[in-house]
Amino acid sequence: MELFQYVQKETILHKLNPMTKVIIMAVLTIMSLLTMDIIILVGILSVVVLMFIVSRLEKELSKQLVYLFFIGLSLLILTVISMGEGTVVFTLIPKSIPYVGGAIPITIEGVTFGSSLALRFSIMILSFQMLLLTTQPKDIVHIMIDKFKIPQDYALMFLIAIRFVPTVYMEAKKINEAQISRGYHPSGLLIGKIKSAYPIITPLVLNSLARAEILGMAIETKGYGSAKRTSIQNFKMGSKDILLSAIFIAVLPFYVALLLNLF
Amino acid sequence: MKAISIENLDYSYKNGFEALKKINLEIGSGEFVAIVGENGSGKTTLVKHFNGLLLPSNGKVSIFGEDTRKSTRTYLTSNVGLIFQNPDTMLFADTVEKEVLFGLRNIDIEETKNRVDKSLKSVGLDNYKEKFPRYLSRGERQRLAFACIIAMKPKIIILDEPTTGLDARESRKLLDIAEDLRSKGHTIIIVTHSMELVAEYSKRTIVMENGSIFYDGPTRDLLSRRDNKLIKKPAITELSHLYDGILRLDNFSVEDIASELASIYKTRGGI
Repeated sequence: MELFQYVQKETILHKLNPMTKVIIMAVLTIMSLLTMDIIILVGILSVVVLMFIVSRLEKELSKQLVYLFFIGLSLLILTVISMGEGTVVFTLIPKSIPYVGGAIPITIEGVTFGSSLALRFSIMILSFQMLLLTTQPKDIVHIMIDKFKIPQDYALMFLIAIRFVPTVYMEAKKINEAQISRGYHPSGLLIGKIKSAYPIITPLVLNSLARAEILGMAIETKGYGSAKRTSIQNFKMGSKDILLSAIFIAVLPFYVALLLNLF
Repeated sequence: MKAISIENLDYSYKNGFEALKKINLEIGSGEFVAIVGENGSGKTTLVKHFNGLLLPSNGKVSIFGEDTRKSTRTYLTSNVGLIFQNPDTMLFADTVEKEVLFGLRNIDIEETKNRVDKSLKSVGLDNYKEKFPRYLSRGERQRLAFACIIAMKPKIIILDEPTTGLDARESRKLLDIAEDLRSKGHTIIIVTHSMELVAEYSKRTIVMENGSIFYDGPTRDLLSRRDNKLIKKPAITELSHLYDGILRLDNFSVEDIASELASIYKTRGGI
């Protein structure tokens, strides 16, 4: 389960200061939020994918793409179905059917808007993943506390949440195996699947709460919050960090100007 | 017909790790078999093949002659019960009774009441039917997990490190239940690190090392081998290896024997 998990590699992105990666992620996210143009969004997505390739995280990317494809597809379908205004290409229910015929029109605007949303979503998720996959969680927390002045408790909550995603996933897998051993077979239909998730969700929540309690006690016994926090590492921006940060920050006003047709 | 037969089983995880290599094994009905070995030696991966949770990368696993690849989930669940190390991975219902009922409903058993009562009685939880499973002690929860499987009446019962976190009394209770089931014809397979329990309950032991079977034979012979570093033998076995002569029990009090063994223990450098 590589989702949200740091992957140790010796690449330029891994070696960058976490702050630089936060800037890159923020710039790419802002850029994607400022436009609905599919071509531009595809271009931004290509930059993110290129970063995955540079970081030698192609395997991780391919796994993420499967999830992203289904989420993106769901977004697209929901938008297309719910956006009835615009140039109608066809209707899901043929006009020849009495009373309901002509309902649920599929419009060009709906498809375009849905595609843009799916692309935006993919850019945001992948650039955030890029940050998490190439940065140790403790370094992210360090940046959160020292640079963004986020209270230590909230930063720790973020760290624990990220750290426990794979643990909870493994726990869910074990619970699923235990229930399958008792003949558990979720119903095939969506409603049935949701209803039959109860034997998995209940132990998962209860075990997670028990784990959280133990973790709370463990960090308290280690003296958490009893003294002023100091840091062993001192993150300094190197020449590569300054250069890359400058490039990405400089791109942003040009990009805005381009979108506003100022050139 | 053998309860379990395995031919040339290989299993690799998705990340390429070869967990099992060329496993050949047969386990007969009514046997009590212990599977031991170091952490990561492939014990749990092997037993997950018995109820179809994992399917072989190569080779074949058969349960009463039926290939697990071709068997239905209901067939495997009805014939092979697997009890996990941590009972909390399976407990979700709001009463002990409903917890046991879950498995029975999954395999479409109709005579549920009788089965629930019998299985809870067999593990000593017949007075806990209305209790919330999570309020039970760790040992009781483990016995409840056992009852959930017993109620489904599988011919093969696998206990994957069932005594972890249990005191000696609860461990013994659990193994006594397993031995009772074996005497009634069930095949019992226990994955454990406790050689004391293996020595006491299991006549046959399989030792695994790096995904292969290192030893498969009588527990007695395994314990008599002095060269085996893969398992931690029971203290009394180690002491008997340290003591080369014959320990005569006649005319000695318990204190004398204990003192004699303690002196051997000290002079030979401990266990």
